[in-house]
Amino acid sequence: MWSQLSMMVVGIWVTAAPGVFDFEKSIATNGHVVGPLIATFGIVAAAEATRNVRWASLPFGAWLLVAPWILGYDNVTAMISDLIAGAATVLLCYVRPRRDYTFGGGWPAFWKTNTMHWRASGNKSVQH
Amino acid sequence: MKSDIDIPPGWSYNPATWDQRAPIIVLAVIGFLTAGYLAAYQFRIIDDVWEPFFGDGSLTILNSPVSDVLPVPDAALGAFGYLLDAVAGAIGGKNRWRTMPWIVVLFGVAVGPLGLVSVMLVVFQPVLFDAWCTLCLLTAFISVVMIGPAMDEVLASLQYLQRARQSGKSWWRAFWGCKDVIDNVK
Repeated sequence: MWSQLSMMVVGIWVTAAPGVFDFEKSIATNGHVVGPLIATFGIVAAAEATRNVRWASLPFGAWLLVAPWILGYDNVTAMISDLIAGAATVLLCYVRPRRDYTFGGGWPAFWKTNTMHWRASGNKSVQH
Repeated sequence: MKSDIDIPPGWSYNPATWDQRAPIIVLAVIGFLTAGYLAAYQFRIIDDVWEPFFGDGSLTILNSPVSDVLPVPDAALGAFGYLLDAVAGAIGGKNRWRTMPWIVVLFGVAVGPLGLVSVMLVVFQPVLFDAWCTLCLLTAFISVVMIGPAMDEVLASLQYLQRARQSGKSWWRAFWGCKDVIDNVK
């Protein structure tokens, strides 16, 4: 949960940094789009049943690591801010989550057979 | 594994208890009141809105072209969304994931898209209008916070429908809580 809430903080930072440092519009827009998405995925992933939603942040974290060159930042502060935020986002995706609860096999149950919730309800073999 | 009938099979807890649902309902009510307040400004029932940080940012956002793209101001639609969340969160007992899957799925459908639309509107604020609206951000935050805690119940209901189908019963009858399915599918 803490790594997901950290991801939320990173997302909020990416959203706020353009205003804090007064970045030019193109850099600011990038942060204003990517930041809320990373923050959202972090918040949703803070709940254990939807923890895997954190992976949705991965491409956006990776994007922040290359955006300074692709968008041609000429602002060192913006570059440092986005590189740190991007690296943090990618790392936080890979933090191995603690499992406190079981969810009957979770969401993968829908594309698997012989699921945990099926067996736990007293069924032995899988039927279709 | 506890044998409590209300705990979904293979789960360590029941996602439909009042302990689980009450915080979401409270959040939805706060969201409803906040969005209702913003809508009152958009309907010009009140003349101003509280904005502690961003100057006239709230007025810029609440009067933006995006806010009245639909026939009803966006905050009013948001208020309706939060109300739907609160009502759909409150209906049914602590076994509703199996006795009323339809309301749980409706709850999930109301909470999920409301949150996603809120995030889209958050992006629009600075990108399109160079302004921020504090209470709009608060309502967006609330709507996103509700998503995760609401989805576990949806998961339990969908797994129940899957078990109904795998048992040779009609998942459609299970969805509407028909007694023949409830009595025969755990």
